[in-house]
Amino acid sequence: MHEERDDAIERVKAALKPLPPTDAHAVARVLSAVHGRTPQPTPRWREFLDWLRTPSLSVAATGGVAVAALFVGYMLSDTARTLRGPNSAAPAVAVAPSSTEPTVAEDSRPVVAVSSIDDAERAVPVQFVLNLPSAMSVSVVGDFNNWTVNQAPMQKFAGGAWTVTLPVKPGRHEYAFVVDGKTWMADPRQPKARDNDFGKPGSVIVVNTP
Amino acid sequence: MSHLFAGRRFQRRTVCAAGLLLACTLRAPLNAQGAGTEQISDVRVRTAIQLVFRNTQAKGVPTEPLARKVREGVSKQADPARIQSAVQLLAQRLETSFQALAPITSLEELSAGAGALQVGVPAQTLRELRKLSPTQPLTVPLGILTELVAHQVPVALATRKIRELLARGANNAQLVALGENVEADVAAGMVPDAALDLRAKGVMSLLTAPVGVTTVVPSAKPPIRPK
Repeated sequence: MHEERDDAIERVKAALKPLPPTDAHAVARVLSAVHGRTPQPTPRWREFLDWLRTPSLSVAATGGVAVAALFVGYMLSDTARTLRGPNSAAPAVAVAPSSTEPTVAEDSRPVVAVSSIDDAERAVPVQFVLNLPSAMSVSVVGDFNNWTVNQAPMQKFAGGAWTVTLPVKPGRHEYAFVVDGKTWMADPRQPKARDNDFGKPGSVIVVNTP
Repeated sequence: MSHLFAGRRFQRRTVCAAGLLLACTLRAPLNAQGAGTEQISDVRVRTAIQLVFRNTQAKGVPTEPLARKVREGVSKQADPARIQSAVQLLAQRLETSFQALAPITSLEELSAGAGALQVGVPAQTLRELRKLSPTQPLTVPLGILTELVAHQVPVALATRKIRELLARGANNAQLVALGENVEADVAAGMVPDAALDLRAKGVMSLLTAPVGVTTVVPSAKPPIRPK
């Protein structure tokens, strides 16, 4: 029994002896690497789920959640509105992929046609020209740029001609030139618009499909 | 106030759900307020316009054209009361256009319908045109119709001609050319009715599709304008 135990010890000793001497630098490198390694951070979504699982919330935190939820809800509502289309309580026009039959809701309220009309509604470049050498600045203002003054400034060319090219969707559009930031002027090259609403001079252009 | 909530704690899930509900409820007013009305100084007018927005929205009609009208009025430095009146009238026309052109293909078509109604084209005409062209946008045909009427062509004649041309398969290029030619003829002193008759005959001669066909034919050469 004693001899057997001694044999075992001897075998262990024999096995350990041939091991190479430890490299102190290697050990230091490994330890340093382990020490320097930061723990894996918990993912944000997991933190949020844990937070949600916690049963209650303080008043101050409630306010924060309400503001965040308000924002998310606002965005979601907008997305849903677009997807639902104008027949829903919150309307929108969506031009979606092709369908041969126009859809009419059961309650006979109109819905947006789903058709392959993208091309017919694509904006085409339209060049606007005004010959007015005395002007210091000229811009085009119209329904195609939401009547935003100075959004489409024209460039002056030799001879006093002002020009700009803008993308305009097919259809009839009303517009005017704003000279020196204050004077509204109709386009002498195009038919006059009858501005029954506000009485400013303006012109009409009918843009063809591309 | 704070003592009322002191020590109160709310279920997080409840709070989130309530926030979402509140956001959806507030969506419409926020939308109306962000439509350029904030640039109108008169509070009463601003409120009235926001109400028009909400009512229009409640009927399912897109409000973007109304927002554009507000911006037009603001840019033209119009009197707030005048902006309000213009927005109210446009809202009525948009609603009619929305119903008559159902199913609308785009905002531009909706606005074109409202523009046609403004010059006196009846809603019934919009319905008839939609029947003729159920899936193709009517934006350009309605724009031409509006311009013809604006150039003193009687509404009934202009409507009949546009309807005939659409039924025969006239494309947008032909309609635009027709409009330009009629305008040039009228500017040259021709009677508007006669000018439209003449130019419509010119386009008709290029069309071969039988009545009732609503497909858009490949671009044919528009009639040549006399120099």
